Amino acid sequence: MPAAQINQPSNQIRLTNVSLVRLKKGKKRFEIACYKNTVQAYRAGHETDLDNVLQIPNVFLNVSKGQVAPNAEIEKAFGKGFKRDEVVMEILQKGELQVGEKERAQELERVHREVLEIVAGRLVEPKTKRVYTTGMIEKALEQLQSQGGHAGRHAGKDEGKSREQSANTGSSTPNGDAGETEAKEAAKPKPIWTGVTTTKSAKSQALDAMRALISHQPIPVARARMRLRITCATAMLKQAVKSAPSADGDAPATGTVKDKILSFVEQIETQDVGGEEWECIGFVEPGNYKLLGEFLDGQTKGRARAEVLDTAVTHEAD
Amino acid sequence: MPVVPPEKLVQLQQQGQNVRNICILAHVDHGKTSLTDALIATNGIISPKLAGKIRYLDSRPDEQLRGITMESSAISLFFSLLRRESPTAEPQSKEYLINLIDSPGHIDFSSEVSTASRLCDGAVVLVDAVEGVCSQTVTVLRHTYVEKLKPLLVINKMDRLITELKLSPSEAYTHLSKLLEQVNAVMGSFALGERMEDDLRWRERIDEKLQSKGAEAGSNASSDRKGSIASHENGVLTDDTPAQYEEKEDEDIYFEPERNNVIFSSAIDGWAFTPGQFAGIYAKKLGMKREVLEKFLWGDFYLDPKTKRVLSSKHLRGRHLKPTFVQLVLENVWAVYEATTGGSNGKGDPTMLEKITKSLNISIPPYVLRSRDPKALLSAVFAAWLPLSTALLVSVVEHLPSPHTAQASRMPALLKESPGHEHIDARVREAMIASNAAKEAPVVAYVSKMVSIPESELPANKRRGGALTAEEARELGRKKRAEIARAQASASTNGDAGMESVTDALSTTAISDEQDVPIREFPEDPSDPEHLIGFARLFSGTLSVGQEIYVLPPKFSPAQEHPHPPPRKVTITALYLLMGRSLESLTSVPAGNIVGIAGLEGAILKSGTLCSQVQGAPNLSSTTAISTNAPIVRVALEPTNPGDLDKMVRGLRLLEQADPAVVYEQLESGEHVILTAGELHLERCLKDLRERFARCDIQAGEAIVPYRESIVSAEEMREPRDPALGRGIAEISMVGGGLKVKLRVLPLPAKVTEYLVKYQGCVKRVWAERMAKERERRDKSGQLNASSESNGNTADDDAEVSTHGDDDEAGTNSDRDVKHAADDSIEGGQTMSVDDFKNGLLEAFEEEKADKALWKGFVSKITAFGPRQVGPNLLIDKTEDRVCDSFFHNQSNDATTSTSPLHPLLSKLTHAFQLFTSSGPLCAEPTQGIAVLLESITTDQAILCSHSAGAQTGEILRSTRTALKSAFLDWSPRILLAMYACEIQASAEVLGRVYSVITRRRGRIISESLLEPSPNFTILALLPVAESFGFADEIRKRSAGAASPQLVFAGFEALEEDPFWVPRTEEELEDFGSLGDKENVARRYVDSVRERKGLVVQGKRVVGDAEKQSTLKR
Repeated sequence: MPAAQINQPSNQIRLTNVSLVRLKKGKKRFEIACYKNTVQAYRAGHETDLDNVLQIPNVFLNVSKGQVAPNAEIEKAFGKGFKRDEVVMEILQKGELQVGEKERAQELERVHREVLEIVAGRLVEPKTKRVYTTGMIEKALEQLQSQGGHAGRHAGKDEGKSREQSANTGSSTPNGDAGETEAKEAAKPKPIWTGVTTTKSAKSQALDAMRALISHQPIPVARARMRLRITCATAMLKQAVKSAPSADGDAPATGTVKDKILSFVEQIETQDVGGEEWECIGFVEPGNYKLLGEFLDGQTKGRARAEVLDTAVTHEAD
Repeated sequence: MPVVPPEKLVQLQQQGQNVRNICILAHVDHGKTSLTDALIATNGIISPKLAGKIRYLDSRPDEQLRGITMESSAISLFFSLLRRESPTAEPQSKEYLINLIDSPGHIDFSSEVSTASRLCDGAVVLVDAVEGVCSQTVTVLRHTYVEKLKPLLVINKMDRLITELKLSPSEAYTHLSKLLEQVNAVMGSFALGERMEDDLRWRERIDEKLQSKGAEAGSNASSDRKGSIASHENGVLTDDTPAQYEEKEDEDIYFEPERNNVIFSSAIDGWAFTPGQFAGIYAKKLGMKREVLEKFLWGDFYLDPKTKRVLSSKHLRGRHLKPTFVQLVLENVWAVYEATTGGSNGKGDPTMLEKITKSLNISIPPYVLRSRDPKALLSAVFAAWLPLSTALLVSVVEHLPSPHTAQASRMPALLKESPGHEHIDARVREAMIASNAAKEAPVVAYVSKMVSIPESELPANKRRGGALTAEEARELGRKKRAEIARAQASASTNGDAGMESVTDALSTTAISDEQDVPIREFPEDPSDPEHLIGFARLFSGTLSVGQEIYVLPPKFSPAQEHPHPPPRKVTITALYLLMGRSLESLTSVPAGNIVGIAGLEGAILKSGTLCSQVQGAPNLSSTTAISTNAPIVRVALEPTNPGDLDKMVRGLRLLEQADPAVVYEQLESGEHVILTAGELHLERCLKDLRERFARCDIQAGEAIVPYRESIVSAEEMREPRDPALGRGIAEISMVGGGLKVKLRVLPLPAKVTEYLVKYQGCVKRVWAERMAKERERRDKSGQLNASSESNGNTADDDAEVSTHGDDDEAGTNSDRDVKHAADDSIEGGQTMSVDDFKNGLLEAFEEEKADKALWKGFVSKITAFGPRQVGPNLLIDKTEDRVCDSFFHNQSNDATTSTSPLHPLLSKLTHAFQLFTSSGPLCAEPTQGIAVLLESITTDQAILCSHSAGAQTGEILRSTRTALKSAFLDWSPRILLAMYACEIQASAEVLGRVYSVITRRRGRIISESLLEPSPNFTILALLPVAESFGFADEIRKRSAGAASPQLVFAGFEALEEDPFWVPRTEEELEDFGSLGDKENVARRYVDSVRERKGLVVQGKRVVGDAEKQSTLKR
């Protein structure tokens, strides 16, 4: 037995600074050896120097064993006329990659900040209507996250409170589908916050975070409301609401269009009639805006509109 | 020795002539608190042995820890003086009450000094004998000069000359006289400044007279006779205005040892003397009159040893004699040091000591003689020979004025400076000048600051009576020992024949009863609420508990008939005698005293005036009268536990009240920002917040810096994205081709942007008015008479404008100070009428010469401002048929436009414009100075109707914003930095260092001017807010405290660099290489903001050089 075969710590080869990019093509797996934490930057165009990405400009069948891909295999998989360099580029662009630890950490950090920025822009202190700083939101979310593991155990304690909360934050419509969603919401367990991930978009995570913050209230928060201008032909206002086409027959449609519209509006700033038009400016919970829009479209056939005056009303210094 | 009950102090308060209100001022570490200790020791509050070491008035733990004073604190001391009217007369005992205020010396707490000095009548200014005049020494001297306090100079730390510098007596004398010259030079410069002003005023008066006379004469007489008229004129002039400028007497402001207003001392070794004291000693020995000797003891005078006559330097005739001061005074002091701590081994010289004690006729207790510590011996000798308290207190009593005399001289000038002084009631004025303590006299008091005291420390809550606790017993024991020591000391003093006239003055203790001693064994109750007590000086009348009194805020002026808000009336709930750490309840206080007032909580924010009447009341706390430096160190605070926010906010409000130099702001971004005077001050505030006011953990961090984004048309821009359309133009097709919009983004001319920023208030008001009007119009249900209403409105506006006309004029003057411009931008335009605003905007557009045709008629086509409907960006309707409402043309027939099918689409476009301007493409900061032109809009109703409105909204908003973004980036983008206008006063020596600090922080010098007549320069500079963290600290450090900056926000300024610039042309590539060697500063700012907000940072690599990653561990 040759001595080189003896596995000793000194003659082991460990690939400590290698990140592989693999591509399956033609039932074969091809690999290239890259430096860690560089491939994503290259793909995003932040890194332009190929020498900073590739360890060796060569295609392997197995990098750790040092098996270089034979020309025949490459030809077979990629077709003729493909140069080795082009294959390397192809794999680099399209292959599946190992995300380096630093890359992941940085991306996570970025998403975290983005989520915070979005949340901070849309939540206000309910009494003063002032926004919180990202730092405060971050701390509040951290608190939620650390409670997250025990949320199930302690859930019983403030169950009642949370139900009340979600009832407040949910729409206060007396009938129809909204009522059902409300019931669903109450039945659902409290939304929990487990920190950001890189797999979901920042916006949807921000919505999750907001929901969690509002239901747990580590600091007093509420969503900043939208200011809308709702206009409607006066003739339409007195009409009774047509029952929704869906299967919620158990909640009979009552009230006029006007009542229904006003039920969406949390607080009315002005409301007046000018000529043929009824106009109302008021604050609406952002979650209700879509519902309101759908209702207006469905009921009034374009004779009523909702116009956004301000997406998030917060206290202004002057 | 008799124990003096607090009643004694109270009784003394009634005798205005025997009260002295003094403050102790000096540069940091020149020994203020140690000196105060020595004085407190005379009243038996602390042991004389510990005096100078325990720093009794530094009651805060952090003050003790750091060894510096942070808060001024007051103590009332009792002092009795035996005085002989004539040498043969029986000595008479006179008792004095001395209200002493110890002030901090560190520059961060200079506001405490200014408030303390207003409360007092006299000041004791300390100067370190070695360090001499320092930066804060000048400041405090200026304070005394401006506040017209009578100063007393103490040259402290004399021991350092002996033990540290090892100077011989004659060297020390030269050193001291130089030091004295320095101090007098500082005083002289103040006097000179005032003299020059006076001179100027006098000249102006003469000129005025001449001119008016000349004009009169010119109309009567022909021009060739002017010469004779002028000469005649001079004759006339002398009648009313003195032709010669009258030199004011400035003798009394200087410090001269022969006038006994200079004291030489060593607080640590417990001794002090005035030359007069020595004159008294030597008067007998030399057979001279004391008064004569006093004159010749300091200065170029020599004592002829044979004839025992004093010679001046002229008569010296080559003989080597020492000056009298050296020979008679310093050498003796030196000898004591030599005998006790000197010698070969530092153990002193016993034989010499014996000689000295014998000649001085003092006896040293044998246990001290045997002690191994030479210091103990030293202080024992000095305590018997030249006790510090005697010299100081005698001088204070003799040279500093009582409230009566001080107010008589100070008040007229002080009142003259206060706002609306001509409206002050004559009765009040007289009472204040006379310090009238009569019950019926009007009460006037000035509250300099609010002191926060935990409830358990109030006398009402202290344990009384009952058995002595162990703590109290120990306390009592300590006092007794102190008394014994003092008794011995005074006994030996009295026996001394050589100096009886001086040391006749002997202090007696004023040990108040046990209530006086704070009982500290109470565990710190966590719910112990803080009480705010006003630190006040009563100027006239008598204040008693239960009295109702008006509180005048700092902005009050007696000139106003009905001040708004009306002064509040409060009831005084308690009065306290301030005794350093403890308080003593009082029932009433007469004029001329310093007192703590409870019951002002909530009525006074920081400082204020109390008066028994509102009409004709003086305002002593107006901001103009008191010079406090505006706080400049700015940090954002956040509770560590987010649930503690309420607590923190409450704590911040309390802190703002309790500390005159703190400003608390809540920003639009939700940040809680405090401004403090310096880093040290900030630390103290945080500690206070954590432990007393908020009682929760608080973190401090950098405040978020705002930026703005804009575009310019620059030389080196790359090709427009779509050459067919032109630069900044974007065509978008939305809703499946149902809506086609052509937009154009343009940079606004600089003048227009400036105008819009300045008069943002006007846009805001117009917007608010428009909303209100629309509402109103609807109330009238369409039956409106548009023209009449608009006329009425403009009339209203005109009225407003006429009252504030000068404001507007000033605002348009572009040559104004940057600082003022910033102020204007906040308030400017609030009072402007719509028409004025429009005209101004038109003018601003007119001034742009380059593209006159392009900008023509823009003003009437403005559809909206943005962001938030009021910002400095414009949405302009350039379509053929003017589909949008004009912003200014608000009477437009809403009925027709709002029902048009375009209207909902347009409102969506406008909304997209608002969104875009509120977060720009560079780093999501608001934009400034861009115009979005709506060039054309075409719709296809069929396609539009087939799409649901909800989906449409989203798509229109999204694609419009993307289009605007790409059009924006077609130009050369710029990032605008928030700037501070920075005003720095610095002496010529440190000018270079100040400049280097400003340049390193990317600041720009605007102007530099000599501040006549002082040798200081005033530098105006612009400094980016982003670079201002730690600026104040750095500039103070680099200039050794000789430069003090003031920062005021001054708006935004563009950084003339494209954040996306990379070398492109061949020349540039040659110069900078393909990567761009020099750092792009604009890019750095943009990237830091993007990183903070979690936006993708272009070109950011995770690792710099991949090969260089460590291969060993992960």
